[in-house]
Amino acid sequence: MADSIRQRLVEKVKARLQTILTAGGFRTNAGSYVTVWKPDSVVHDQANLPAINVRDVDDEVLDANATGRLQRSLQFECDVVVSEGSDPADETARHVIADIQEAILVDETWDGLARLSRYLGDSIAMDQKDRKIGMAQVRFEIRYHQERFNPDTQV
Amino acid sequence: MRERAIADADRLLNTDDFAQRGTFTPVGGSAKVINVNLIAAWQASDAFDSQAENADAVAMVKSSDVSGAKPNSLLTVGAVTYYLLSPPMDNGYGMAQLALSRDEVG
Repeated sequence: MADSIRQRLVEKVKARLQTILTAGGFRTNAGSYVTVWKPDSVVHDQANLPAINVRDVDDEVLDANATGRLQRSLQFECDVVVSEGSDPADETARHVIADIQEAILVDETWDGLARLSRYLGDSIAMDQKDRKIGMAQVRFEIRYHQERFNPDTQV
Repeated sequence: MRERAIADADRLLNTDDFAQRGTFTPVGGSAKVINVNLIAAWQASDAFDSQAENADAVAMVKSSDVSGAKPNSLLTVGAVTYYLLSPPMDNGYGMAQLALSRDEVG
Protein backbone atom coordinates (compact mmCIF):
# COMPACT_ATOMS: atom_id res chain seq x y z
CA MET A 1 0.00 0.00 0.00
CA ALA A 2 1.25 3.45 -0.87
CA ASP A 3 2.28 5.98 1.76
CA SER A 4 -0.29 8.63 2.60
CA ILE A 5 0.20 12.14 1.29
CA ARG A 6 0.86 13.22 4.87
CA GLN A 7 3.65 10.64 5.25
CA ARG A 8 5.20 11.67 1.93
CA LEU A 9 5.06 15.35 2.90
CA VAL A 10 6.80 14.68 6.20
CA GLU A 11 9.56 12.78 4.41
CA LYS A 12 9.96 15.65 1.92
CA VAL A 13 10.10 18.24 4.70
CA LYS A 14 12.80 16.25 6.50
CA ALA A 15 14.81 15.83 3.30
CA ARG A 16 14.48 19.54 2.47
CA LEU A 17 15.60 20.66 5.91
CA GLN A 18 18.60 18.34 5.61
CA THR A 19 19.79 20.54 2.74
CA ILE A 20 20.34 23.46 5.16
CA LEU A 21 24.12 23.47 5.01
CA THR A 22 26.56 26.32 4.49
CA ALA A 23 27.96 24.35 1.55
CA GLY A 24 24.55 24.78 -0.10
CA GLY A 25 24.46 28.53 0.42
CA PHE A 26 22.59 28.59 3.72
CA ARG A 27 23.71 30.51 6.82
CA THR A 28 24.00 27.47 9.08
CA ASN A 29 24.57 23.73 9.12
CA ALA A 30 21.29 23.06 10.91
CA GLY A 31 20.50 20.39 8.31
CA SER A 32 23.27 18.13 9.57
CA TYR A 33 21.06 16.80 12.36
CA VAL A 34 17.36 16.63 11.51
CA THR A 35 14.99 14.31 13.34
CA VAL A 36 11.26 13.64 13.07
CA TRP A 37 9.27 13.40 16.28
CA LYS A 38 12.22 13.12 18.62
CA PRO A 39 10.40 12.48 21.92
CA ASP A 40 10.35 15.32 24.46
CA SER A 41 12.08 13.04 26.93
CA VAL A 42 15.08 12.51 24.64
CA VAL A 43 17.73 15.12 25.36
CA HIS A 44 19.84 16.70 22.63
CA ASP A 45 23.56 16.07 22.89
CA GLN A 46 25.51 19.35 22.77
CA ALA A 47 27.88 17.74 20.25
CA ASN A 48 25.00 17.40 17.76
CA LEU A 49 23.95 21.03 17.72
CA PRO A 50 22.52 22.78 15.82
CA ALA A 51 19.59 20.40 15.48
CA ILE A 52 16.08 20.51 14.08
CA ASN A 53 13.23 18.28 15.21
CA VAL A 54 10.25 18.16 12.86
CA ARG A 55 6.74 17.46 14.15
CA ASP A 56 3.60 17.26 12.01
CA VAL A 57 1.31 18.19 14.86
CA ASP A 58 -2.08 18.61 13.15
CA ASP A 59 -3.71 17.82 9.82
CA GLU A 60 -6.93 19.78 9.70
CA VAL A 61 -9.70 19.54 7.14
CA LEU A 62 -10.37 23.06 5.88
CA ASP A 63 -13.15 22.08 3.54
CA ALA A 64 -14.92 18.86 2.54
CA ASN A 65 -16.85 19.60 -0.61
CA ALA A 66 -19.45 17.62 -2.45
CA THR A 67 -17.07 16.35 -5.09
CA GLY A 68 -15.25 14.26 -2.51
CA ARG A 69 -12.20 16.48 -2.32
CA LEU A 70 -10.78 17.41 1.09
CA GLN A 71 -8.76 20.58 1.46
CA ARG A 72 -6.26 19.89 4.19
CA SER A 73 -3.80 21.90 6.23
CA LEU A 74 -0.86 19.88 7.54
CA GLN A 75 0.73 21.90 10.31
CA PHE A 76 4.37 21.61 11.25
CA GLU A 77 6.36 22.72 14.26
CA CYS A 78 10.12 22.61 13.85
CA ASP A 79 12.01 22.81 17.13
CA VAL A 80 15.51 24.23 16.72
CA VAL A 81 18.33 23.93 19.25
CA VAL A 82 21.62 25.80 18.86
CA SER A 83 24.65 26.42 21.03
CA GLU A 84 26.97 29.40 21.38
CA GLY A 85 29.82 29.26 18.90
CA SER A 86 31.65 31.83 16.84
CA ASP A 87 28.25 33.56 16.64
CA PRO A 88 26.09 34.19 19.71
CA ALA A 89 23.40 31.54 20.21
CA ASP A 90 20.54 34.01 19.69
CA GLU A 91 22.04 35.11 16.37
CA THR A 92 22.44 31.50 15.23
CA ALA A 93 18.82 30.80 16.20
CA ARG A 94 17.69 33.68 13.96
CA HIS A 95 19.91 32.36 11.16
CA VAL A 96 18.29 28.91 11.38
CA ILE A 97 14.82 30.47 11.35
CA ALA A 98 15.74 32.34 8.17
CA ASP A 99 17.27 29.20 6.64
CA ILE A 100 14.10 27.19 7.25
CA GLN A 101 11.97 29.84 5.52
CA GLU A 102 14.28 29.85 2.52
CA ALA A 103 14.35 26.05 2.41
CA ILE A 104 10.55 25.99 2.25
CA LEU A 105 10.58 28.54 -0.56
CA VAL A 106 12.80 26.29 -2.72
CA ASP A 107 9.59 24.47 -3.68
CA GLU A 108 6.53 25.23 -1.60
CA THR A 109 4.50 22.56 -3.44
CA TRP A 110 6.87 19.80 -2.30
CA ASP A 111 7.29 18.22 -5.75
CA GLY A 112 3.67 18.86 -6.63
CA LEU A 113 2.15 17.07 -3.63
CA ALA A 114 0.75 20.30 -2.19
CA ARG A 115 -0.88 23.47 -3.43
CA LEU A 116 1.17 25.85 -1.31
CA SER A 117 2.97 26.39 2.00
CA ARG A 118 2.19 29.12 4.45
CA TYR A 119 4.48 30.46 7.14
CA LEU A 120 2.76 30.77 10.52
CA GLY A 121 5.49 32.31 12.67
CA ASP A 122 8.40 31.57 14.95
CA SER A 123 9.57 32.00 18.54
CA ILE A 124 12.92 32.08 20.34
CA ALA A 125 13.96 31.24 23.91
CA MET A 126 17.41 31.34 25.48
CA ASP A 127 18.83 29.52 28.48
CA GLN A 128 22.26 29.97 30.00
CA LYS A 129 23.85 27.62 32.48
CA ASP A 130 27.27 26.05 31.91
CA ARG A 131 26.59 26.72 28.22
CA LYS A 132 24.33 29.18 26.48
CA ILE A 133 21.63 27.29 24.56
CA GLY A 134 19.27 28.88 22.07
CA MET A 135 15.96 27.29 21.21
CA ALA A 136 13.49 28.29 18.55
CA GLN A 137 10.28 27.02 17.10
CA VAL A 138 9.24 27.56 13.48
CA ARG A 139 5.62 26.96 12.51
CA PHE A 140 4.26 26.50 9.01
CA GLU A 141 1.50 24.68 7.21
CA ILE A 142 1.27 22.80 3.94
CA ARG A 143 -2.07 22.90 2.17
CA TYR A 144 -2.96 19.96 -0.03
CA HIS A 145 -5.95 18.22 -1.55
CA GLN A 146 -6.90 14.66 -0.78
CA GLU A 147 -9.61 12.36 -2.01
CA ARG A 148 -12.28 11.68 0.61
CA PHE A 149 -11.27 8.70 2.82
CA ASN A 150 -8.36 8.01 0.50
CA PRO A 151 -5.30 9.51 2.20
CA ASP A 152 -2.78 8.47 -0.43
CA THR A 153 -4.60 10.01 -3.41
CA GLN A 154 -4.41 13.61 -4.54
CA VAL A 155 -7.35 15.20 -6.33
CA MET B 1 29.15 33.40 65.35
CA ARG B 2 30.31 35.22 62.23
CA GLU B 3 34.00 34.59 63.04
CA ARG B 4 33.20 30.90 63.53
CA ALA B 5 31.37 30.77 60.19
CA ILE B 6 34.30 32.40 58.41
CA ALA B 7 36.67 29.87 60.00
CA ASP B 8 34.37 27.08 58.76
CA ALA B 9 34.46 28.64 55.28
CA ASP B 10 38.24 28.46 55.35
CA ARG B 11 38.07 24.78 56.25
CA LEU B 12 35.53 24.04 53.50
CA LEU B 13 37.69 25.84 50.97
CA ASN B 14 40.90 24.07 52.04
CA THR B 15 42.64 22.91 48.87
CA ASP B 16 43.79 19.73 50.65
CA ASP B 17 40.16 18.65 50.88
CA PHE B 18 37.37 19.91 48.62
CA ALA B 19 38.62 23.10 47.03
CA GLN B 20 40.88 24.00 44.14
CA ARG B 21 42.91 27.06 43.35
CA GLY B 22 41.35 29.37 40.80
CA THR B 23 42.06 32.76 39.32
CA PHE B 24 39.34 35.35 39.73
CA THR B 25 39.35 38.49 37.59
CA PRO B 26 36.60 41.00 38.30
CA VAL B 27 35.36 43.19 35.46
CA GLY B 28 37.75 46.13 35.31
CA GLY B 29 39.96 44.69 38.07
CA SER B 30 43.10 42.64 38.38
CA ALA B 31 43.42 38.88 38.71
CA LYS B 32 43.87 37.19 42.07
CA VAL B 33 44.21 33.58 43.14
CA ILE B 34 41.37 32.31 45.35
CA ASN B 35 40.13 28.97 46.66
CA VAL B 36 36.98 27.62 45.03
CA ASN B 37 34.76 24.58 45.43
CA LEU B 38 33.40 23.98 41.92
CA ILE B 39 30.41 21.78 41.16
CA ALA B 40 28.94 21.26 37.70
CA ALA B 41 25.80 19.19 38.02
CA TRP B 42 24.02 17.90 34.91
CA GLN B 43 20.87 19.77 34.08
CA ALA B 44 19.00 20.14 30.81
CA SER B 45 17.97 23.35 29.12
CA ASP B 46 14.45 23.10 27.81
CA ALA B 47 12.04 25.22 25.84
CA PHE B 48 9.14 24.52 23.49
CA ASP B 49 9.33 20.74 23.08
CA SER B 50 13.10 20.23 23.18
CA GLN B 51 15.67 19.54 25.83
CA ALA B 52 19.43 19.93 25.45
CA GLU B 53 22.07 18.70 27.84
CA ASN B 54 23.65 21.39 29.98
CA ALA B 55 24.95 21.80 33.53
CA ASP B 56 24.45 24.07 36.49
CA ALA B 57 28.03 25.24 37.06
CA VAL B 58 28.32 26.63 40.57
CA ALA B 59 31.33 27.62 42.68
CA MET B 60 31.45 28.25 46.43
CA VAL B 61 33.99 30.87 47.43
CA LYS B 62 34.71 33.22 50.31
CA SER B 63 32.48 36.28 50.01
CA SER B 64 35.40 38.60 50.68
CA ASP B 65 37.23 37.22 47.61
CA VAL B 66 34.45 38.21 45.22
CA SER B 67 32.57 41.07 46.88
CA GLY B 68 31.09 43.52 44.41
CA ALA B 69 31.84 41.30 41.41
CA LYS B 70 29.76 41.94 38.32
CA PRO B 71 28.49 39.57 35.62
CA ASN B 72 31.18 38.57 33.12
CA SER B 73 33.90 38.61 35.77
CA LEU B 74 36.18 35.65 35.02
CA LEU B 75 36.97 32.58 37.07
CA THR B 76 39.56 30.19 35.69
CA VAL B 77 39.75 26.77 37.30
CA GLY B 78 42.14 24.30 35.72
CA ALA B 79 42.05 24.95 32.00
CA VAL B 80 38.46 26.22 31.95
CA THR B 81 37.49 29.89 32.11
CA TYR B 82 34.00 30.68 33.33
CA TYR B 83 32.03 33.90 33.15
CA LEU B 84 30.10 35.02 36.19
CA LEU B 85 26.40 34.90 35.24
CA SER B 86 25.08 37.13 38.02
CA PRO B 87 26.38 38.95 41.13
CA PRO B 88 27.71 36.64 43.88
CA MET B 89 24.95 35.16 46.06
CA ASP B 90 26.22 35.84 49.58
CA ASN B 91 24.87 33.48 52.28
CA GLY B 92 25.57 36.04 55.01
CA TYR B 93 28.09 33.79 56.78
CA GLY B 94 31.22 34.45 54.80
CA MET B 95 30.47 32.24 51.79
CA ALA B 96 29.13 33.15 48.37
CA GLN B 97 27.80 31.05 45.53
CA LEU B 98 28.82 31.92 41.97
CA ALA B 99 26.65 30.92 39.02
CA LEU B 100 29.00 30.31 36.10
CA SER B 101 28.95 29.81 32.36
CA ARG B 102 31.62 29.00 29.80
CA ASP B 103 29.86 31.45 27.46
CA GLU B 104 29.92 35.21 27.91
CA VAL B 105 26.80 36.84 29.30
CA GLY B 106 24.91 39.14 26.95
